[in-house]
Amino acid sequence: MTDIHLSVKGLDKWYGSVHALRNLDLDIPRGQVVGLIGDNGAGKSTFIQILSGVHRQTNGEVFFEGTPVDIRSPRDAMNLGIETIYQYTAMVPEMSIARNVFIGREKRKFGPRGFGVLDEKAMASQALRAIEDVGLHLRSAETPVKDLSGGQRQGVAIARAMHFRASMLILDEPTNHLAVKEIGKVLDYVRQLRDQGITVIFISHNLHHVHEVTDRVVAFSRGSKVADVKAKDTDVKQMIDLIT
Amino acid sequence: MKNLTKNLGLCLTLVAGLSAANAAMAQEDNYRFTILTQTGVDNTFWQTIKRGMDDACADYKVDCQLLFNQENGNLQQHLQNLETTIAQGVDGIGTVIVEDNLYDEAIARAVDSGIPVVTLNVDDTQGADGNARLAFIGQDLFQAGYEVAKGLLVDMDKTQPQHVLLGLARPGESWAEDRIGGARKYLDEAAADGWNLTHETIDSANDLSITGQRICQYVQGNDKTTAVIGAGFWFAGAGECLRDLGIEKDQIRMGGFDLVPILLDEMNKGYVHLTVDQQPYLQGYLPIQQLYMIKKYGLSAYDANTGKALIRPDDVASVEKYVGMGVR
Amino acid sequence: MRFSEILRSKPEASAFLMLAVMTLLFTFLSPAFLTYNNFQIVLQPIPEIALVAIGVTILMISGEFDLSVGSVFALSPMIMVLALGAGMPLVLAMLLGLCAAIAVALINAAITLRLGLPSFIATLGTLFMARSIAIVAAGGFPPAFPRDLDLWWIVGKVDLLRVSVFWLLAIGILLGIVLRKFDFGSWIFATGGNRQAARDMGINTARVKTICFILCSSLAGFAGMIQTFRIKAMVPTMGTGFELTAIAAAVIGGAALTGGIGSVTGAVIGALLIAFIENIIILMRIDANWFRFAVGAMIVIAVAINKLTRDWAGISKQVEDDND
Repeated sequence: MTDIHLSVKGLDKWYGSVHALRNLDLDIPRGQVVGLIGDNGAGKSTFIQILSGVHRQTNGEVFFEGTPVDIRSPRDAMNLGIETIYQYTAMVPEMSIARNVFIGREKRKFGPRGFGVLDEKAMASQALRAIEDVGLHLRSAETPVKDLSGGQRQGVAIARAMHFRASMLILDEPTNHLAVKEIGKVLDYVRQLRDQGITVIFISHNLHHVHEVTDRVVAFSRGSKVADVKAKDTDVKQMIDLIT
Repeated sequence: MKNLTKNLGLCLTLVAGLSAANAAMAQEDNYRFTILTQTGVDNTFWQTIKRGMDDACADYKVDCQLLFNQENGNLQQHLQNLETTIAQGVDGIGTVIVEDNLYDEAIARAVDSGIPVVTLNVDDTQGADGNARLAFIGQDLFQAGYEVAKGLLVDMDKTQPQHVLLGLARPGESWAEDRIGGARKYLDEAAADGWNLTHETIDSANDLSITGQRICQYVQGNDKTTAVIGAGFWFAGAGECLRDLGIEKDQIRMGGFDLVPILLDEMNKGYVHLTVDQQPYLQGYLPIQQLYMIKKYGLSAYDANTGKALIRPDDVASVEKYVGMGVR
Repeated sequence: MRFSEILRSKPEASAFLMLAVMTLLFTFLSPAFLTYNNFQIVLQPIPEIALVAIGVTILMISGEFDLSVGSVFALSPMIMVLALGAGMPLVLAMLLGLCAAIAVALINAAITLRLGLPSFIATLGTLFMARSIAIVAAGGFPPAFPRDLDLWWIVGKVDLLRVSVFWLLAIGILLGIVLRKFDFGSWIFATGGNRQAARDMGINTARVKTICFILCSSLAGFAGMIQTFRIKAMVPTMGTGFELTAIAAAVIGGAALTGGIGSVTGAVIGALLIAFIENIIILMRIDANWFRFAVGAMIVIAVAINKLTRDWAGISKQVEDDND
């Protein structure tokens, strides 16, 4: 029997009178890279927003490592080990890399969370190590994020997730708005994650990117799952047919 | 079409009914008077005027309203309030005139249509020649400024050179310009008489802290300064920092207008020497009384100068009691 | 660190530079400027302006705006003076005054965060409302200020300064440390710098903003009390227009209207600069009718120089990168 990392049963989401997600069943084995594809409004964003704690489902259940969980906030998701990398990278441009890596989860020398003194040295050295671990080489962790390129920012975001020992990573359109050579880097990150045994949910409009790095492709249309196939059994042309 | 006629009929009945009700009220002498000002509700001076108005309205059993401006000094808004009041058809209006031409047309129209209008507190600078209003109840601002300068300098040594700082609280507003203009006139006359007297005007603002600051900074930079005249009461805020500068009591003589606790305090401490009380209570009481007499007995309006009360440190004890009551 | 990098990373650096230049310039313009007596006067209201500017700056960093500070500046001391008049002990009366400030802050936060109105509008509303309450509370008349209070610990004279300067220093240093060295400070910058990111990374941004609203309002109330103690009088008009001075000080000090940028030091420098500008205009005996023009022009010049120096620093950084 395979080790199921996350599974959902009968997941439903209504936004007012809009049925955004219809009775979704899905099992994701540990270590698998799953690509989610679908047109705008197909339900894939709704699905990951439920997993990352931004919205809650109307009906249905989420099981994490076999036990039912209730994800009420982004913090709940992070505590489970689910980290989300947003298209906009969830970085504060004016703040340093070190500060950005530890946003909301700062290292403290002493004091309770919310009124603790920052351990800036530890944050700087750990942030630098974390970004080196994903193969990104930057001079200093004190550089403000606004000075980084889009690809570098994605790298820092992934380093952040890895530093906090994410066992599952959700990448929401990570290749959008990137230069060509940077896209290659981001796809490399995804391969690295698979090599480390991390479960990845990869969302993209670009079916070539999805096909390149995923093990399995799940297609959504109008809130429902319409296909679930191994990546090697399909090709880009067939994927286009699936979602249109 | 039928519906429309029906609605129109209903409306007409309603209006007729309301007018009838109004007429009935008028027969019971239920006059409605409105007083308007260009200042905001936060002007403490006007609160004393309001007290006078309220008392008069209680005495004569009339319905009164005081309309403040939402935004201090916004004359267009003030004019609009005036227009609205006239359109409302009240029985009498009291207002300030802080700009010579702005209100002429509206007030003339009101008077022509039988609504008596008197001015209070601030009048057209040309008086009755400049506006159709029936009378002015208040201080002759220019004259009062003249009196303050004269009263403040009367005890000063005419053989020595003297330098007077004039604090123009609101440049461009006639009440402040008039008062300081009056003071300037006296100073120029005295200087023409051969007294070595100089003066300078600054924008002193109307806030105790800011005005105090500006006066002290000026005095500090111009140590020949021997007297300060303010266009309001805010100059009293300078007492504290003058003491910080090491200036002894009576070393600099300060004078200005109106009565507030801090001004009386500074008089006791020897840093303020003169103030003119324009008796705002009367400026609220007399307009209502006049409007009532005009409506009720057809008497005519008359000018009243409420602002000749010179108050010196010796008077503080007797005045303080009334300040506490909110009538001075 | 290179000069241009300091300018870029520290928003208050160019303000500080400007303060130095202006001080030098003013010393040449008037011999009365850099004198003991003049500074004794100029420094008096600095703690009051600077405390309000610090509060406004921190709130601006968190991405919100507070126009109501000008009225809270009067409301808090008004409540306090009335409580003193009713026989309440000084410290209790001050706490009551601060409660009024916090009440206004909570209304500001509720309108902004729950109803989703821009804080500019919300606090524009409370600016008027708080002023009205201050007037109504006093029944329209300036209440008498109690004459025999021991106020040395707040506004006593210490040579050139007043004790209030030490309150400013203590509060400024404390808040500066919280902003730079505490995790909560980091949350304030994150909330204002990119609210979506802060929220997605698990920060309760509504709570962060609410605390900043409370801080801003309380500082304005406390500053108003200091002014009341200093001039020993209470009029309901005090602080009218003060919100604009405070915002000007914050902006001169490098705070961005868009949030996420600013510093406590910058706010204090901004307050000093505005006071110096007013001072030199008086010392130079600028004509009464031109006074506001001069003040306004100087403020625009100050902010423009601030922006230009930072832009220049940004460009030289880019040139450097291209050469790498």
